[in-house]
Parts: sequence; C-alpha cells; structure tokens
Amino acid sequence: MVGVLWRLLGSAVASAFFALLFHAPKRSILPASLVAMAGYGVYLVGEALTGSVVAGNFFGAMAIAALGEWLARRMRMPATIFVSVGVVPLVPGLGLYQTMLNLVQNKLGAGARSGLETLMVAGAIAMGIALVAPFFSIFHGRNKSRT
Amino acid sequence: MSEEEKQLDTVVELVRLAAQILLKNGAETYRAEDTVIRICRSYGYEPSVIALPTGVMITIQAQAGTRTVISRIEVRTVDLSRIAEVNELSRRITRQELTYEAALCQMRQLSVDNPQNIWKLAAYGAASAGFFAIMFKGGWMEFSAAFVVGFAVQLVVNLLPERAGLPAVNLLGGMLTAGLSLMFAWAFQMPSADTVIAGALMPMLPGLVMTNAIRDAMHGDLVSGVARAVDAILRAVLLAAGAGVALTLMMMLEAVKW
Repeated sequence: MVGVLWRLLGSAVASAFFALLFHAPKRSILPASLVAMAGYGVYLVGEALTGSVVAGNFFGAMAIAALGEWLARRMRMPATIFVSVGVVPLVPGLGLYQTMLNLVQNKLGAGARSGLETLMVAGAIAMGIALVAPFFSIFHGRNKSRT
Repeated sequence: MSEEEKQLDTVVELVRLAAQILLKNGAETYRAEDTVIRICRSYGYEPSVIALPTGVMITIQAQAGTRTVISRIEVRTVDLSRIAEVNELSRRITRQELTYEAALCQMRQLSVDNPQNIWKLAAYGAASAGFFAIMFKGGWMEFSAAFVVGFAVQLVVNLLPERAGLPAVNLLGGMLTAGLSLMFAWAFQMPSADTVIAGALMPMLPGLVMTNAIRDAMHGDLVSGVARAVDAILRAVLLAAGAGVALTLMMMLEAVKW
C-alpha cells in the first residue's frame, strides 16, 4: 500500500517537472500535476479491477480529459495544458522499451505481444481523451468550449 | 493609404502572427484557426483560414480590399505559456480592450522566442526522469541513476542544432538513454536497468504531440490529426530504435549478462 502511495506521489512530482519542461504557466503546474496523479490513480484502480492494462489506461485518460476540461474553464486556460501534462504518466514508455528489448533479444513472440499491448494502450488513451471532449461541448455550449 | 486599409493590413499581420506563434509552440490547429476567426470577427472581418502543423493560410475579403497570407511553420517546440499568453491576448482583443496597433505590438512581443536555459531544462528533465523511475516501482538507486541519465540526455539533446532534425534527436536520445542507463546498472551492480530506462525515456516521449493529434482529429482536422499521429509514432519508434541499438551494442560488449 505504501508502495502505491510513493508511486502516486512520484507521478505527481514527475509530471510537475514535465510541466516545467513544457514551459507551462506557473499557476497551472500544481493543478496539472494533480490531474496527472489522479489519472494515474484511476489507471491503477482500473487495472486492478479489470485486470487489463488497456482498460486502466482508458479510464485514466477519461478522468484526465474530464478534469482537464473542467480546469480549463475554471482557470481560463487552454485545456491542452492540463490534458497533455496529465496524460504523461500513462504514455507507454516502459511498454515501448520492453518491446524493443524483446525484439533485440530475438524473442519475437514476446515482442509482438508487448508491441501490440503498447499500441493498444496508446489507442486506449486516445479513445479516453476523444470520448470526453464532446460531452463538454454539448453541456457547456459552443462558446465556452473554445477556451 | 486609407484608415480602413491600414487597419486591414494590421489585422492580417496580427492574426498571421497569432496563428504562427500558436502552431510553433505546439497548440492545436483548431485553436489557431479559432483564434484567427475570433480576432478577425471582432474587427468585422470574416476570414477563411486553414491551419496545419506545418503552416497556416489566411485570407480576408473586406471592403478595404482582399489580403492573403501564408506562413510556414518550420520548427515546432512545446511552450504552453506562449499558448496561454496568445490565448489571453486574443481574449482581450475580442473584448475590444486594445487598439489594433497596440494589439499588433503586443503580439509581436509574444512572437519573440524565449531564450532557452539548457541547464534548467536539463534539471527539469533529470528530476522528471528520477520521479518517473519511482513511479515505475524504482528505489533510491533507480531514482539517482535516472536523474543523472535524464540530465545528461536532456543536455545533449538541447545542445543539438535545430537543423539536426527529428530522426537524429530521437535516435541519439534513445541510444544515450539506454546506453548510459545500462552502463550505470552494470557499474553499480543493479539487478535491472528497466526502471531506470523507462524513467529516463519519459521526458522524450511524444505526449503532447499525441494528445494534440487526438484533439485535432476530434475537432474535424483530419490532416493535422494524421500528421501529428505520424509525428508521434515516428518519435516513439526512433527512440525505441535508438535504445535497441544501444542495447545490442551493450550485449555485444557483454556488459549485459543476458
């Protein structure tokens, strides 16, 4: 349990530095890191509940997109700031490396598996983000959706 | 030149700059188009605009004349504050808080690139890499290794000239990250370099590009969506390839006992 807390904290702090790397506006850094941590948390819960990494990423991305859109309106800043920083912990870096590792060691079967999983994770994140945005456009009207 | 013509020319330059700054710094294409349209409308003009990650084309047909401008976006970086600043300036313009000359003046200021402090960026990359290593279940050793590797790689990558191009940057980045991490792991007898490499790779992964690929596609800009998706995939694959090369080299040198 403690390990999970460290990992959550790690995701938040890492995303904060990422935001700095992206030159994010100062006052958006804390909210964006919290979005990232929440997204990662939802991913962990989703993965634990469904047993699927892909599903976890999907729900995590949805949470991030929703929080990002909400914060964008609250803080009068483009949603991209919160969503792109928030999504960073989910982006499949480890999976990518694992795939390369397998392929280089000629473990083609394992490589194909991890490669496919990496692709599906990326797709799940895309779907998660994509499905949330239209809802906000509908409920908040066209004017407000263009922050 | 009449007052109407002067205003038209100024506004055309104003929106051209606005779109260019937004696209240069990684904004969504629909945001660039939207900004152009809003600013033009606040002056009573109705523009036609197409924004792509690689350029923008704007045409305005007004009483005072017709103007068309095209701007090519050569290099794209990520600067979220610039995007927010242009966003804020365009809000003020549409609320008619500035004269058009003042607006152009301020937009010009925003078009000046921020000088990059390589050391700060390297430090941010390093810290980010270290904490991602922790997120991947790493401990203090992994944190420190990822920190150092992240620092070194960010430094090198930012020192490369812009002309070096995308493949060079990502291949080199991947190679350095994997190579240095593996050397670290070997030197300090770490059981596995996986967490370190995963953490150190994170700052280089195309998170923003991928996010905006989706957002653009969802807003109907299929060209941008596909272009950015390809951009993201290319970057990721090149990173992995670079890492793979380093891995193979290390295996050949038998520094990695697999």
